[in-house]
Amino acid sequence: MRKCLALLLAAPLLLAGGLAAFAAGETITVLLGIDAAGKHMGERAQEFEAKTGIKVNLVEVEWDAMVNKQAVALKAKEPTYDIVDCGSFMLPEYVPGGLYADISDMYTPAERAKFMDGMLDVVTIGGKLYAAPLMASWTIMFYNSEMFNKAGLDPDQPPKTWDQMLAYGKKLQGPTTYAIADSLGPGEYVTTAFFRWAKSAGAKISEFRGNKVYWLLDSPECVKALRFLQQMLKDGTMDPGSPTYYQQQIADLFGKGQSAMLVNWDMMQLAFKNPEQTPYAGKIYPAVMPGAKAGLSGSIEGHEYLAVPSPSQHKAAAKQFIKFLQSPEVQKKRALDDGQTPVLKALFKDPDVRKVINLDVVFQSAANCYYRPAVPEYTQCSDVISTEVQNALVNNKDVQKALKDAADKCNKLSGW
Amino acid sequence: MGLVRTLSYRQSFSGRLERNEGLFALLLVLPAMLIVLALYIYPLIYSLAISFLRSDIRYPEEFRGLKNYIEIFQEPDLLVSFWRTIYFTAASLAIEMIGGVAIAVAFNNKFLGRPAARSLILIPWAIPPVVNGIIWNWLVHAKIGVLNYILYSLRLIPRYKPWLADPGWAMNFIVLADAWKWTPLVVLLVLAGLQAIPEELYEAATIDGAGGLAVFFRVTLPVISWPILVTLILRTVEAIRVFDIIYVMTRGGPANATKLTTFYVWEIAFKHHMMGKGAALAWLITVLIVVLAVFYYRLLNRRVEL
Amino acid sequence: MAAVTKPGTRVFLYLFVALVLITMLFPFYWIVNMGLQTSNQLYDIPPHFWPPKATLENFRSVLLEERGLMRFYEAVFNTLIVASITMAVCVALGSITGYALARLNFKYGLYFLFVLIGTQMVPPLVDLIPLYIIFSRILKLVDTKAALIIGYTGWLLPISVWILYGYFQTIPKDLESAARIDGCTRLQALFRVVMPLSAPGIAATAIFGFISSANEFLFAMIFTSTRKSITIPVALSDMIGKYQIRYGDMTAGAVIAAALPVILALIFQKYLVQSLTAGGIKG
Repeated sequence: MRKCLALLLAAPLLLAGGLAAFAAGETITVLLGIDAAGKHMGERAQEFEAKTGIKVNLVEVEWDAMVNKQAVALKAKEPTYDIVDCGSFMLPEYVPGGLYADISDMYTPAERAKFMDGMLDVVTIGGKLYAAPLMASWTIMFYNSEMFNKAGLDPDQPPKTWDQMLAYGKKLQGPTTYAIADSLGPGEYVTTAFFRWAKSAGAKISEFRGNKVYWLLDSPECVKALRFLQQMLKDGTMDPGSPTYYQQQIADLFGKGQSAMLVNWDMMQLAFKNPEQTPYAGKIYPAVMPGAKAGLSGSIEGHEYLAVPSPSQHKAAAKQFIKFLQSPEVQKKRALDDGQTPVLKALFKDPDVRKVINLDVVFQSAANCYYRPAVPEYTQCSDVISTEVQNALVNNKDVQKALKDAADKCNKLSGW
Repeated sequence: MGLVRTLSYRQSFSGRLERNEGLFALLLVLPAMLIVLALYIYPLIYSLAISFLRSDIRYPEEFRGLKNYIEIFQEPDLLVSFWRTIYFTAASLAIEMIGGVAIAVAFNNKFLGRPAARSLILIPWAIPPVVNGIIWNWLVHAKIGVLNYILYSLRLIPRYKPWLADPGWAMNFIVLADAWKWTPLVVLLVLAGLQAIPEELYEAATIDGAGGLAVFFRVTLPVISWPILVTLILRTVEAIRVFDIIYVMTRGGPANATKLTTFYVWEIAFKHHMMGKGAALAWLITVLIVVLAVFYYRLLNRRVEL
Repeated sequence: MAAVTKPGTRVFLYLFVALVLITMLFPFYWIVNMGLQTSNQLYDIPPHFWPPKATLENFRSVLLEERGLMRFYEAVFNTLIVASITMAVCVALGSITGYALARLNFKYGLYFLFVLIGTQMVPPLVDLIPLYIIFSRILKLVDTKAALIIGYTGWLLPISVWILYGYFQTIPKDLESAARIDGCTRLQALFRVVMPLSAPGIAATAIFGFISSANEFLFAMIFTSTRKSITIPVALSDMIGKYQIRYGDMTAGAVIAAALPVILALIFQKYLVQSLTAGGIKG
């Protein structure tokens, strides 16, 4: 009798539990780098869940860790992630192995036209689309106008050439503050920094010959750029701790006034207006990175894309979430809340967006940007470049030799 | 043995166990043996097999013979990383041994608060290596590190120095971080050995007129030579495997100055997705350790005879 | 024990001990100090040697707030489960295996001991890659606590056996024989007589196993991805480099991560010392 009672009680509970699990709907797991996520992705996820009943499990980590997690999961063909963050240069690693799903069916041609020019092309391989744009992003320079004022410099005239920057630097240096800080930490950080500076010296850096990439790392302009970096570190214009900094660290330090100028991602514009982030809120202005000569500048694109891994078991739900994030409302919110440049052309004319993001500076930087080559050996090349550049900066290796070694090794990796 | 046993019991399984020591032992050992086989031996062999393949996420698998190994030897920085590993191991061991023995000798004396001190010393050992790296990262931070502050206030350095941006200092600091963590272990092991020395030995020595240092070298040192050697072996194997501290403090930088061989394995296998080459490198490390172990073993035997 | 009696030398001794204690404890004190400050205070130059207004805010926020990856307490939970189960399995299997090797006439025993010692030479690194392939492709166990438990058990079992083997050898055989004569079966003798006497050894193995599992990083980093299985060390390392994380959070997390094994080590240090030295002295 007691057993029957127990069963009777248990059954409805089980049923309820089962129903609840069923009604709770799907859950998708989304892996994002913190730049792509911004501070409010959690709220967006909750809005999405309210709308569709699909739960979003967010995993946000810094870029390198995100790339590693993704690599580990994809290599094992695990269905852990339903959406992953990626850059266009990562596609050649995963698409040939069939690890990113083909999402060409997500957009009609009319929808495709709404996106910023070129954004879809770089993630289209063999006529098929493998990633969806989430956010446009380029690096720009920031400067602290209050520190400029104190040093007797005109806060509306940021330096436009390297010589100007050096001259400003002399006035801005203090016993514990520096004119400029850059993220020269090991790995992709110093590599992209090098690309930026090389571009602002007018270098070509690399070119495609056939379908292989040929690296021109030891061109005179590249040498000039690296020499300049070396010199800035030596004479104290640039914070000598830079080779240990990652992008996120120096943003914090810059915000606290440890340096007067900073190169970082454009979305930081909004963060630097926030008093919680920095005591200089509102006094930090964006500018185009100075070039070796007037008219030159350098930037790196860091467009964030979302890809759907092939092993995912919730592809439809994932695509829904992606479309949600790309909708004009959400894109506008991300622009206004986190300063993230939208990917929809229509929003570029939106006055609210323009108030928060200085799109002029952003697009000027975009015009001078270097596109990292989309080849499978990119990660290895990046590590090679990272090592050699740091050799020059920290070990005083001869710049010409360092870059020649880097070029030789990279070209060998690229199949020359 | 079996006065109380009945016939049926003897014929039962547990009865058989009672008599057959070997069978009983086998049963007890079996689970552990299976686990060790499955999780140590089998992967080891598998790893060797992979090292001859190109096991890469981007390309189809193919047999490469010894190419992975050859490529490793052709990569100059990889070979340099072996030297770095040796330097790291030697430097770390030196600090741990000398410091450990000195501290153990000191702790061998009664002083006020000794039990508490002995307990507190364990703290560095218990801290996770990741936290260890984080702590030291902050101690030597370029801007807000306390080391810079102290040195600058004492006028020992002209301005704040980014310690981890300097290849030499970066290496020395990971050595320090590691030594800091493991010295307590050495202290414990040596101290235990010291406390096993009977009082009479010391008395005999002093009666014979030996001074402090002589006592140390003639009486103390030989007895603790065993724990010292054991520690040497343990620490060497551990030091070659160090990863956590590097990942957290320097990621192998600056300019590869702190990229030890184990870090390379991780980078090659999990960052560059070349698992075959990573497995090959890991095997080379194993060979190195085995060689060292044999060397130590010989050394041990000779000391024991002494 | 050699007695240092001369007063001059005693002063030197106390100074030395003080120096040692400062060196050993300063970093730990520093991180606790940092954990109790607010993120903004952490950026002050000169750094504060004592939190200006000690606050537990960092601990609260890191443990409870959603951090885009998980709440830290989930990592604590995962770590506790993984470490406890690993510890239990290692103690259980370690004791029966150690007993068999120490007590019973078993011709393969010596070979097995040899193999056990051999495994200590092999850096877990070598096993990592194939284990990863096995766990992910064949067993589909990645991102689970089970994977960590299995992996850690395999890693720590040899040394658990070794410690307990050394321990069992020190227990006089007569006690066992007495029990057997009184009518116990082998198994009963094992559980009723030998085990209780080896309590220190077992405690030592348990603590060692727990602390090693809780602190392990490389294996955990590779085999975990989400809040389902992330352990404390991985959660901490994921925090590095986040620009929006307040550094106060990270130091609070570090303190929590360190406090757990430290407290255990301090409570059970008697057993730890005994176990580690048992292997060391005996040789």
